[in-house]
Amino acid sequence: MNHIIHLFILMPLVGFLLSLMVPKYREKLIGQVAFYSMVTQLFTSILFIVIWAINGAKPINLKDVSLYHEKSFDFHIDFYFDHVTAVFLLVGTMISFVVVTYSRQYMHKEDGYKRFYNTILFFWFGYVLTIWSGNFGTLFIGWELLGLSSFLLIAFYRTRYLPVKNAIKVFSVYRLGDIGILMTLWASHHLWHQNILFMHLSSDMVQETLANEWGMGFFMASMVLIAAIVKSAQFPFSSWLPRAMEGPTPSSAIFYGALSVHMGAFMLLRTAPLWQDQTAVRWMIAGVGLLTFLLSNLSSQMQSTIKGKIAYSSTAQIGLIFFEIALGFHMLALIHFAGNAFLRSYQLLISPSVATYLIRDQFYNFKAQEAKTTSRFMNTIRLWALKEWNLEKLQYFLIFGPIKTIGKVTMRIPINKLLILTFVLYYSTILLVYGPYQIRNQEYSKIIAIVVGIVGLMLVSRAYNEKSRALHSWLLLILVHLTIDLSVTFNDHLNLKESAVYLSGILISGLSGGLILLILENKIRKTIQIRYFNGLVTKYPVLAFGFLLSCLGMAGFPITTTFLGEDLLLAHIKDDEILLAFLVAVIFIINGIAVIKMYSRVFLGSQEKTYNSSNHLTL
Amino acid sequence: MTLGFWSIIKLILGTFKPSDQSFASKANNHMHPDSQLQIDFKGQTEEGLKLGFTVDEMAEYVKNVLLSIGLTKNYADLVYIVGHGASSVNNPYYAGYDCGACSGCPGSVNARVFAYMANKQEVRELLLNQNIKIPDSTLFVAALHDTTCDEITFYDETIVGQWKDKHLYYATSFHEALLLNANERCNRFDSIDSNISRHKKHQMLIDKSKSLFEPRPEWNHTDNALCIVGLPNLFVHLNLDKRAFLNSYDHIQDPEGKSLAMILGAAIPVCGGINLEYYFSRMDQQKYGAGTKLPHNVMGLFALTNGIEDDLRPGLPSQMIEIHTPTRLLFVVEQKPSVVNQVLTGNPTLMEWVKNQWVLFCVIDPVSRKIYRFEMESFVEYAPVIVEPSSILSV
Repeated sequence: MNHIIHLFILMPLVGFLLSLMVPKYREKLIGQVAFYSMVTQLFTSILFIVIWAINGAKPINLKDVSLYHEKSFDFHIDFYFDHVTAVFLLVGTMISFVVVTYSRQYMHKEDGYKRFYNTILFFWFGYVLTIWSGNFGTLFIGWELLGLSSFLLIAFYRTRYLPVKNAIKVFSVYRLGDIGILMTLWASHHLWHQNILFMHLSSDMVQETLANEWGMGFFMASMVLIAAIVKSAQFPFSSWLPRAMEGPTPSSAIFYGALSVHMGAFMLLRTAPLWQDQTAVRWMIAGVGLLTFLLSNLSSQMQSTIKGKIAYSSTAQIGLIFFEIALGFHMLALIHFAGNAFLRSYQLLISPSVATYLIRDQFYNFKAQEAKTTSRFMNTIRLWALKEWNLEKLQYFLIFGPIKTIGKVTMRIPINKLLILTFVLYYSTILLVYGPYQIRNQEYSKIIAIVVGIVGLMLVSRAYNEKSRALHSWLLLILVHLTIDLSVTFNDHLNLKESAVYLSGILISGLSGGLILLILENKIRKTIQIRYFNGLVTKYPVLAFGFLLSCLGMAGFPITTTFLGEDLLLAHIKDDEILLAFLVAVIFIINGIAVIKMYSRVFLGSQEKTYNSSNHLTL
Repeated sequence: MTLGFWSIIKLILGTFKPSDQSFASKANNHMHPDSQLQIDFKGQTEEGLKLGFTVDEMAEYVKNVLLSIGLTKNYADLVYIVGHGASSVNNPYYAGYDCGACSGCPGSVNARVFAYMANKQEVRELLLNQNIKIPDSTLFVAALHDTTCDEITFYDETIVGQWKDKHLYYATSFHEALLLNANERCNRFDSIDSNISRHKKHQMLIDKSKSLFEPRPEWNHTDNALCIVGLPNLFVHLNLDKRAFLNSYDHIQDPEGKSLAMILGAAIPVCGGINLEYYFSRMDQQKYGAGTKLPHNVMGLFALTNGIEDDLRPGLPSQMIEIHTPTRLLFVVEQKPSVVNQVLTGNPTLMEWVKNQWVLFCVIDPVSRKIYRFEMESFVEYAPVIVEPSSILSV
């Protein structure tokens, strides 16, 4: 029984890989691959769940391959199945199956038919991995896949400005949630010295530790909550959800109506033993849920577009789901999830009909509304709701504004000089560490670690803001990774093997990315400036794909060893060094955002000409 | 919550077995066949507007239509007045598929109103004064052509007695013609195999109009290129490939061009407007057109955007114009150039369309059968360029 679980992970992966291999013009075949892949999964899922339920519905855990193993550090893939997974699997397969079928005709002749199916199947793989995950490490992999597929689907119309801009926005907010998971990973290393299994979360050992280490427990629960809030578009991050409605309608339905947006609720349900004994955390979850319910409800009433309305109604319902989870009604929350997911995906799929339906209604039953005078208070509330409670501004003020400010510190130094300066500094410090003086593990080296970390933060913020030559920013981003490595080396004994695990991925992706930029500059015979969107993807699709892979490697995406290295690095930061841990996590996150921003600015977001040849009409 | 579970069932049904949806736009649903229309003016007003028409007004309308299409003698027993409408679902552009002259609604009401007027005894008596004699044996019958499904609905509850059998006979002819039309239309759909039987093709068109996920329920006026104003023998046996607007006009009955002025007064702005909308949408999909329909978002009940904060999208979506060949509309009028010139100079707005070449214009002289093109503010005889091949070197 247990080994069937592998099948559930493999089927989406095989479906995705098969869809990659079909040539772009074989529209029917692409649709069939996706359709049969989903049909098989739907039936095997139903069969599996029925058999599982007959056998007593006991949770299943399956320890899979260990990706990296040392005496103090073990990163392994683990799968876990219980009633929460069952519900998310069933609802997910049903909706994806319907959406995949729906899109076969709907996307007909669309430029990017194959890309659409690739991304949907890729998303589905990420979703399956997330809901089956048995530990935070596996969950993090799935979480990253979801974030990337989200970016790709929002920016589906990749030569248009707004979809790309909004895709970057959503990706940035998602990355903030990733801080939560990274910090949770870090905290769990220190509490239990292992990649803790979800199965063991309610065991006595875990509960005892949580009871003893109240502060760390609270920290971990808050980090989980941040990740959940971001992913489920709760207060104060609600405003990304309506902005994500840029792709073709079916993709919005599956992502933002149904599946992706409920992953926050999943996260809370999955980690419930972590926080359910902490009253403060439960109050926080309930409070966020209720506040979102209230605010989103009002925002939904003031939205002028139908998809915006559906998006805010959906976050409002998820607010209620959060509230139910906080109260401990987990079964109710699961039923509520299924109902909300089904309803919102249906509403989004038929959203174009709103014009027909309401206009016909007006045609036959129109009654002019009387002008009503409302109180000043209500008008204020409505105006505020119309402005979406200025949540966009709040996010900018709290998060993206400060990053810009930090980036401005080094603004006076031109970027090419900064590169040389950092490089010289880096090598002299390396000499200090590994040279004759060996200044590691001294009392003051912890302080140096923090200082180096702050330098890293400044550099990454600079790269985030940089608007001149793409190649320079790219080099700066590589240096940022070297700086993080250095900082941790100062902090704790990081051996060369661990450094190599971390830096080898950076080196490969850094070199390939730099090379691609050089080739591009050579081809278009001028330097690539990222002050504006270049939109080079239509001319150089292969280079664009290569650069995307390099970017993913740089961002620590689970395709290179850097992904493991990130976790390794965090394991070398002790539990009383929360500042450094936070610094490193923040640098990872900003780095990821900067990299995706760079990819978008070089390859996406603009169109050379707006008149089209007949095979490029549907942009 | 129960709403949610109900919706997944509806969604699965809608995806696998297209059926009539409550939110669909269906041509037939615009007006119930048994509904009663208040056509005669009985002194009532609503918001300062009269409800219904007086007999004089009716006679005027009927006269204008009959004169303009030249139907003033040789009446058949049954004259069909066919409005048009379209059926589609999940389509914010549904009004663009319906009748523009009926405020973006199906034309069933207009057809019934006209048939009623033309059948009214008092109206026919008044028309006698205008030298239009409609015999008592002639009956006007209203109908609605659903252009997406290629189906026709007759508003035939008034047909009795001697007309009944004839109507049944003609109705089968209508169905036969619609089947052929459906087949011709299917040639333009990539997704329909051209080797399947006629009835299957017709059924596929009907399914298209009902399916939630069909961005192209029909091609509408795609590829329009021509507007012919004249007698049918101008184009008999000519395959127009669904590219022409056809307007009946008998030049013999209209030596002074009065009816022509009426026809062109409507045809030039309407057909020319449609043509230019397709033309510009096709030429620049992003600025004049609406881009692809798939990410569209309905804003208020008045506009479409992408996403929630993008610009409003004007023009037509790519799913309506992707097989359109952008050409300026060519008017072909069967009348003497001097009469046409007089009509155009008499109406400055029409002259602007023609003079500035928003539409191309030519005239066929009914007597000499010579073609005259409108060029540089006057009609110039058209001489086809004939180049004899000098010699053929090898085959």
